[in-house]
Amino acid sequence: MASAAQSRIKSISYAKYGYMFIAPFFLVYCFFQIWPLIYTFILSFKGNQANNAQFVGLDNYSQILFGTGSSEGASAVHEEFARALGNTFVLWFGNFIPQILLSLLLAVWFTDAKVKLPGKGFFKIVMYMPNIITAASVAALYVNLFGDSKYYFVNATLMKLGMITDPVEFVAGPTASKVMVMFIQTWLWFGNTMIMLMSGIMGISPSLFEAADIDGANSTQQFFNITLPLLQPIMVYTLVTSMIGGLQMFDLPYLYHNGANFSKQLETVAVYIYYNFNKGTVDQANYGYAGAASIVIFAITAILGSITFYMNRDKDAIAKKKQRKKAEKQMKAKMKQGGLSI
Amino acid sequence: MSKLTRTLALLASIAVVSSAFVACGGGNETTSSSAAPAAENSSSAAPAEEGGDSSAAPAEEGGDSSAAEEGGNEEGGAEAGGELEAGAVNLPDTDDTLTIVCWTDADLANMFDVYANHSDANVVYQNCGDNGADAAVKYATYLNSGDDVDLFVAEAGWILNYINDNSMSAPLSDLGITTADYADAYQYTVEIGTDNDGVLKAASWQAAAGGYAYNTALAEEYLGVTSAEDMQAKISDWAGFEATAAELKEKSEGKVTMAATIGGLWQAFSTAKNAAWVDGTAIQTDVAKEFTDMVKGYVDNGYVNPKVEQWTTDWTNVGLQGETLGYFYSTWCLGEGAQLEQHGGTDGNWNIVVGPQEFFWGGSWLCVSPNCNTASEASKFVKAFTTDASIMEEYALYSGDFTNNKVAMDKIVADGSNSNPLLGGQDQFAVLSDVAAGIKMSDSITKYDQNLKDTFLDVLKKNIDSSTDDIISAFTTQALADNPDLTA
Repeated sequence: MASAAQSRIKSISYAKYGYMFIAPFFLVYCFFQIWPLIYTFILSFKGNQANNAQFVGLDNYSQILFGTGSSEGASAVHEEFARALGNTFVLWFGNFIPQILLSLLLAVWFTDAKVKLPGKGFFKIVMYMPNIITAASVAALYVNLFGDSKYYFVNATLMKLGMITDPVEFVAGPTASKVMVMFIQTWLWFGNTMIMLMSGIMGISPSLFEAADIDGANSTQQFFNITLPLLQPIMVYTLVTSMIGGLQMFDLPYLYHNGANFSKQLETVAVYIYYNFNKGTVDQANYGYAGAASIVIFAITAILGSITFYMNRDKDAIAKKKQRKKAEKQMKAKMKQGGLSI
Repeated sequence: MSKLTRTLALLASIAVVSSAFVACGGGNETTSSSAAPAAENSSSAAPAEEGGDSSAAPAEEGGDSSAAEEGGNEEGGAEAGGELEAGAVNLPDTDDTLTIVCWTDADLANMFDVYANHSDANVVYQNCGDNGADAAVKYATYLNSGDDVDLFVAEAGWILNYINDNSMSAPLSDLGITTADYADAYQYTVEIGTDNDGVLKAASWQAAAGGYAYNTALAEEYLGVTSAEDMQAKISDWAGFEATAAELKEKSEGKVTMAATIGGLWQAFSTAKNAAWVDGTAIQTDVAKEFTDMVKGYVDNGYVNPKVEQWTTDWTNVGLQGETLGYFYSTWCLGEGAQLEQHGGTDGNWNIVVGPQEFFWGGSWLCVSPNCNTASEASKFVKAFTTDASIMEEYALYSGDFTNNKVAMDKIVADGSNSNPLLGGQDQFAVLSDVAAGIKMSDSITKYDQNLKDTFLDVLKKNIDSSTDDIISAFTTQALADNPDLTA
């Protein structure tokens, strides 16, 4: 039997100290994170330029999504947003697919016990290196290497070698600049993805590979039947983070340009948001469009994220869970009938 | 919990909280101008004639400033301090520090150096970013923050947003300064400084007049032109400019273009077109159409290379490699280390002429904050740099800036006290004063103009191979998407 004092002590809660310690963070979080998030929603229902205090309902959404609405330029607004959204997806696919293929290949090579690559550590470091350079430096580097005229290194070299007669517009050209941005993004991020996938592969029990070896499975069979299925959780993680990053892609598309203004042909949704939000002084900026575009990209991210999770859910576990529930139900039904069937 | 753990936890949470605030402050530099102990002087309420006994801060500039010093002495008598007079102010006079918000700190540092010879007031500046475009946005935040601000510097591109907003700017008449004080100023600066209701809200210390700077060696080789006068005679209008471009192309076998960039042509062409960009809410495209027709002809004939853009390495290279005859430059391109020097004008074989059209490019204006609380000092400062011919002359010679005062500039030109080694000793002020006097402004400038002009140039450069109609419609589309306030 516990004494009165003991039971009193039991009821002392240290939780309030915990709350006190986390309170500062949550206060700051509410002020600087939650409120801006909510305010973005509010802004998306308000007007643009001189009307930025006026409530306009869904006007901004109908303008950017369907090209109908109060302003005369509604269809142009829609076109620009649609172009930005298209660019976002093109740039994301164009860098994600080569990136994941390259990283997967390298990760498998680096972790394969049979392929004894010399200097593994060196390669890992070198391949991860680009990721630690800021996008600003990378953009400056590439703009200066791949400039549009004959004065820049790559064009000058290609022309000297006689491979081209006129300089290629790597920066201003509509297609070439997109390809360049995809390439740079891939170059920046494949090292990071590779490290991620390697940790996933190393988490797979080596005995599985050994067993497969003994059973005579070749590398391809091992890859498709052991590595890939067991790598799924890491793949989902990579896919989701890359998708969120890709839909928010801002730095390189914004920075990769000649002269003073960003390139319209590389305008992603994030650039669109920034441009409209930051265009001149308060009564020149389009807060409504920027807010609506943010919400739309948020919704797209949420939907795509859910789809990815749904497609990659563990089907075996779900099937097992169902089975167990079914068994439990049957058990319960039997209990109700009373008596045990022996 | 042990004391150590608790302390660590507390430190960690403080770190988290404080890191959240890190981004909020900072970024602004404050620089004080006056070397003399200023607080004692300026705390006295009497607006004028204060601190007359304080000795002048020694002028640091070289020999050429002596002329300016004399000019100052003729009028004032006193060597320094107390010679400035404030107007009849209509704003409070409670503070003793004159705070100027700017992004052009290099300009202001020069101004403060000059000002220290004439006043020992305590003047400081707050720098918001390092370029005009950033400042446009940062100012709004700063002005709303409640921090001390008496005057602020606005750029040509977005000044209208500020002077047409009474919560951001006060009329200059509150400092006892009226349009009548600007009889000697270049008229276009006054027109830009006047808001939609006809109230004078801003005054400029500089006239950012521009001209056509050209490589004299190339001009002599291909055009046989040996003097700036001959050059000006050849390109005194756009027809002459085009004819010269054709001649240049033929003689140089297409190696040398007449103008470096479409952007430069546009700078010259767009400034003085006496047509509105926005009528009511309707976007006007007449000037855009005219320019598109002209430039498409230039590009087709190879008078300008459409691939070269301003502010890029190419911009520099076409000058260095002698692939262009000249550039359209503003006054601020002609100083030491500025564009002219970067683009190859190092051995003095460049000259500047008025060119086909008088234009200005950029420029900064002083505006009064409604929260100004050092009205007398602010009044003195604005008057000194925008109306006082002798101080403006001194400033022009000290900084190389083209000041906004005809008397001062005419005097420098007449005295021959300025010569630019980058231009082979030519006095750029002589040319630019002709330009500044000839600039005509449109009657209806709007706050949308800058964005529309930029958008147009961008669309034009991207679609230079399309037809004029397509370019104009692409421009209208983009302009409408950017500005829901406007109509086609």
